[in-house]
Amino acid sequence: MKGFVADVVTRLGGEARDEDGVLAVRLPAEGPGDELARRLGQHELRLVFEPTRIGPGVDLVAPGSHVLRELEDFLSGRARRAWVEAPAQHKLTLKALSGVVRPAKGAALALEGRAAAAGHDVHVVYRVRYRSLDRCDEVETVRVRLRPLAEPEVSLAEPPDEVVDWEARPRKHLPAEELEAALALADEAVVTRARAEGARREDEGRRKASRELSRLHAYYAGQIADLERSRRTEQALTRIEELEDERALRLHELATTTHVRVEVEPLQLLVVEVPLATARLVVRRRGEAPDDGDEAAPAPSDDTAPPPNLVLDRLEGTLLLPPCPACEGALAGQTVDGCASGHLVHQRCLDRCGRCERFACAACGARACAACGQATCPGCATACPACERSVCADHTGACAICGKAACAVCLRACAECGVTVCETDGHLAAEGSRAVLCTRCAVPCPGCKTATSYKELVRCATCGRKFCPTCHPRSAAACVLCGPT
Amino acid sequence: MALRDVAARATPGERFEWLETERPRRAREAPAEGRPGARAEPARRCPRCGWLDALTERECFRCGLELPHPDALPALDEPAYQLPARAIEALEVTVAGAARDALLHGVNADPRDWLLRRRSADLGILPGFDTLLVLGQVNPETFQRYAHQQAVARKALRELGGTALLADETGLGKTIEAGLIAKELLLRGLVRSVLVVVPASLALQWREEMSQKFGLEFLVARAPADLVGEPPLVIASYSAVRGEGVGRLLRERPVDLLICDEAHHLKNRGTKQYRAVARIRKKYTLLLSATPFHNRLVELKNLLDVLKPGLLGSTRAFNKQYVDEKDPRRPRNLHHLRALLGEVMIRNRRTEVAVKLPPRRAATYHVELHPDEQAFYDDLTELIQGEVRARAAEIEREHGRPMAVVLSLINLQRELCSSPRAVGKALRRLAGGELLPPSINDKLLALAGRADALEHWRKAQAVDEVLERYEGKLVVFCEFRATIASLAERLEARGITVQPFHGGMTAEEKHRAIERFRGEARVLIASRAGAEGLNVQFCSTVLNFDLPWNPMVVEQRIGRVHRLGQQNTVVVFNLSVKGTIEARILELLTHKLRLFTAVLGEVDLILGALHGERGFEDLLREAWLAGAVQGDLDAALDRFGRELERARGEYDHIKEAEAVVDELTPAPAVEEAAAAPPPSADGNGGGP
Repeated sequence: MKGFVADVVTRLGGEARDEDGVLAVRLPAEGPGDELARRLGQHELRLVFEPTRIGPGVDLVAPGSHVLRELEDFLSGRARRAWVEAPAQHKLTLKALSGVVRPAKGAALALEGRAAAAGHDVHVVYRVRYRSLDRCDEVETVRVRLRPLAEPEVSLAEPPDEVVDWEARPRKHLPAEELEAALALADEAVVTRARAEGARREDEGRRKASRELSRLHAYYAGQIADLERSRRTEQALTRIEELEDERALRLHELATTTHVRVEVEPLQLLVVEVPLATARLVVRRRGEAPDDGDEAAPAPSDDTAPPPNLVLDRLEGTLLLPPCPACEGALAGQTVDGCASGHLVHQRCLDRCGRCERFACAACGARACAACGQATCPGCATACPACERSVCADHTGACAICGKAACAVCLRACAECGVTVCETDGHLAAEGSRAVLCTRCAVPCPGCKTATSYKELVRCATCGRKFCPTCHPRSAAACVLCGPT
Repeated sequence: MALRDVAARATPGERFEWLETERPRRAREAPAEGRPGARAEPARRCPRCGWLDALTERECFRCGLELPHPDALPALDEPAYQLPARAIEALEVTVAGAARDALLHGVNADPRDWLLRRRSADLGILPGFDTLLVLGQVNPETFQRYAHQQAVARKALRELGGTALLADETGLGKTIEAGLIAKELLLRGLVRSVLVVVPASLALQWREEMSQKFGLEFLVARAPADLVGEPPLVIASYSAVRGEGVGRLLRERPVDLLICDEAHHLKNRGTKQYRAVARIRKKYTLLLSATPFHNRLVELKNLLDVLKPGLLGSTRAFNKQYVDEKDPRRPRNLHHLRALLGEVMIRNRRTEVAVKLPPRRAATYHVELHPDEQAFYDDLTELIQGEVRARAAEIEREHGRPMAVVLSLINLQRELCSSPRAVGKALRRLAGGELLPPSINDKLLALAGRADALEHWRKAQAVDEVLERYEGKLVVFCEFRATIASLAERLEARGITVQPFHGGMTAEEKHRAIERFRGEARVLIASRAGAEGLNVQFCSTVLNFDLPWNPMVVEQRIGRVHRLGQQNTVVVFNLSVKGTIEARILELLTHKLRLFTAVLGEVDLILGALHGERGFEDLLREAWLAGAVQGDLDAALDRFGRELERARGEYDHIKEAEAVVDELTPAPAVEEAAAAPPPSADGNGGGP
């Protein structure tokens, strides 16, 4: 506390000397120091920090003391918000990446389209006051971290002590909407915490109050019961009413005193502008021209240029990598590779197209062929119109009947004529049979309605119609419909 | 002492009368193993109502539940009754919108200032009640630090949750303790409104003490109009609280802290004022009484029902459990009752706290007026009692407002007893007014001329005699500034260095005056207004040159030297001029009220028993008026004296009950504050 007071005085251009445990303070006669002196009533003060040392002409500085309150009031009017620019302490180089991700064998990392950007750490200081029978104050600082390519991150964190040395920007402001949103997030975080803490405190108070409650109930119930047992005179009835009122009053008092009210007061706002570097991290195969890695290449002005996928916090040196687009898993600490579409993915998430041999990942639409199981890039894959499964070009064909494309899984060879037909144009030969007949070869049996090869049909001598061998065995004289005569 | 020689040298009718000072009662004797009845006895709680009782009890005396065998009792952590379940949503969390908006706009500060502000926010977090913030906020000029008072405040706040019966023995500063607690709660923002309920006679004293020592500006509510705007700090008398006007308003609005001074006024639950106080909605309650019961122990229970209803069960159960069948004053089940009282009551005894004041001796120097003075006194008294009073009666008939004249006459009577210059000045002032006819004014002017011409001033001679024989510094208290000037001139003329001290001086002048008195000056002549905040414990002799009609003012005068830091026996001289009204009043104060010999603080209680709602000064004025009207002032003052004796007797009876309270008292707060810093020896003002 003594250090704090001395720092305030020094900051205002005054003098603070420790004289045998007493802090002798002299405030300047002009500027903010003079304003503080007017608040304190004098320019020269002698301050002590222990109640036992109070004496004539000496002021006590302790929590809640006059001096400390005046200092708090004075400072609150001067330092409600601040903006500092953090220095850049790290560079975005491939070397910086080496500890974070490893390129796959035969590949190398490269940075493209590097650019400078800014992120913001919005620190909001709150005083949280819990009031019940006792009062307890806490000071919480919520940090809302605003970064490109990422959702705002909210946590309880103090700004670093070094902010005092960083460059102040008196006129910089976040866009109003952005600041409002950040404050709303900070409010939500501190209120959530305050609510939980308040509930804990209230539960504790209620546990303590339970004895009081029992006592009150028993006391009033006993008196009322006594009066009810006595002669029910007008006086007794009035007294019962009075006791009931009194009981309600006392219970209300008890409930009021155990109830915790929480007040959250935002005190200060500090925006730390953090220098960032953004770039696109790509993986190049051997033989491709490597990036020199140190010089920032100008970002392509073309709007169609691929967006950056890497952000470096140049203050802390932390890298912000997006998750693997193929599996959504974190890339940090993993071996990474790049597909032909430019996606940075885990090595395990990268496939080589079995047909064209290009590298592809799930993010660019590469799938295993439904027929052969081989990886297929989007260029080589076709979606079967019948089953919508992705298949490679080797496993696509056309129905000999309708001419529509279909995958190898959906196309079947006719058991009679051998042409491939789709499921629409193919009929199962018989119940339990896997043989397929094309619509040209298949004739429905009039008896069982089953598709039957026209070659197997037997004409009924009685009715003249053609039946499958089941409905008209060759040894029979007639079909099942005509029956044995 | 050499003063006896002075007495021997005086005229036959003049003498010194030394008064015997009462001694505080000795601390009760404790047995070797600890305090009587403090032994721990196995106890258990009723599973239904939570009542704590001896393990041997078979039936809960509070709720009547038949208690099972102790071995069969389950652990009692869950009482039968619960508060309604708490809904998390019901927890009020408010975000200060204005403060939030302030963050959105404005100029950015330097980060160094920002960080300093951040540090100050951390420092502003208030700690628990272990550290009393109030100690840094009291007025060091008027506040005397006592460890026991701080200990009481800590205990009441930390252990008793701000609800307590402060039952310190008289003179140990219950008012200060309550002030400490109130200010602490105010400082911490736990309390925003305070209502102090006091006997009417103490209202102004409370207001002054709170203002001088704690900087708390209370408003004394006498009429409903006083409460317009809902002032946060209010003092009201018991009669006002029980009444309809002010009382109704006070009962309607909740207060955060309720303080009831002389709380034994709430001993009877059937009274209007008991019910009125019980109806006040409050968060914290402090009851102050050195004698929480007077005649029956159940009065104590009634009192505690205001604090914590049901703590001592129902009246019937209390009588059965805790009151001796043969003597309603005597307790039984002492250990159990004491344990219960420990939850709400704090009491310090004079013998147990570190307040060690030197003894005090008092003497009245009876002197007789010089014949010239006596003739002047008789003539003026005759005029006052005769023609002037008749005119006052006329004014009363005409306007119904005789007070201006009456007050002037009373003042004149007092100034007559003080000094010729004071009375001369007063006579001219009265004659210059339009209240009295010219014929009387002429007589008054003639008497003023006689006063100026008086060559003898016996009272001043008495001061000379005391100074002549007594080697040391002397504080002389006078009521009138003319007397101060006159006496100072006379003493200076005799080569005695004198320092006047009165309310017309600035703080700087007063400071210089004290320093001069500490150094070269031998005599300090102070007025009533000047005496406030006066700190002269380096001197141990006080002389009451003339007498205020209010005993509390006399007490305050003596308190200027009889306080912590005083190393010597304090000697108080009173000048009594034979045959004057002042002599009669001094006799009342000395022998009926025993003002100069009473244990510190007792006078409050005796006066409380005397008149209830009206002040001593008012009653004395009424007696003076009645005596004057009926033509027999002596008889009127005798009646008043008998009334004082009755009050004194009543108080003696109450003191017997105090012994029982001592028995019931749990461990004193001051024992627990052994580690508390000792009282500072250089503190100023206001202590007991």
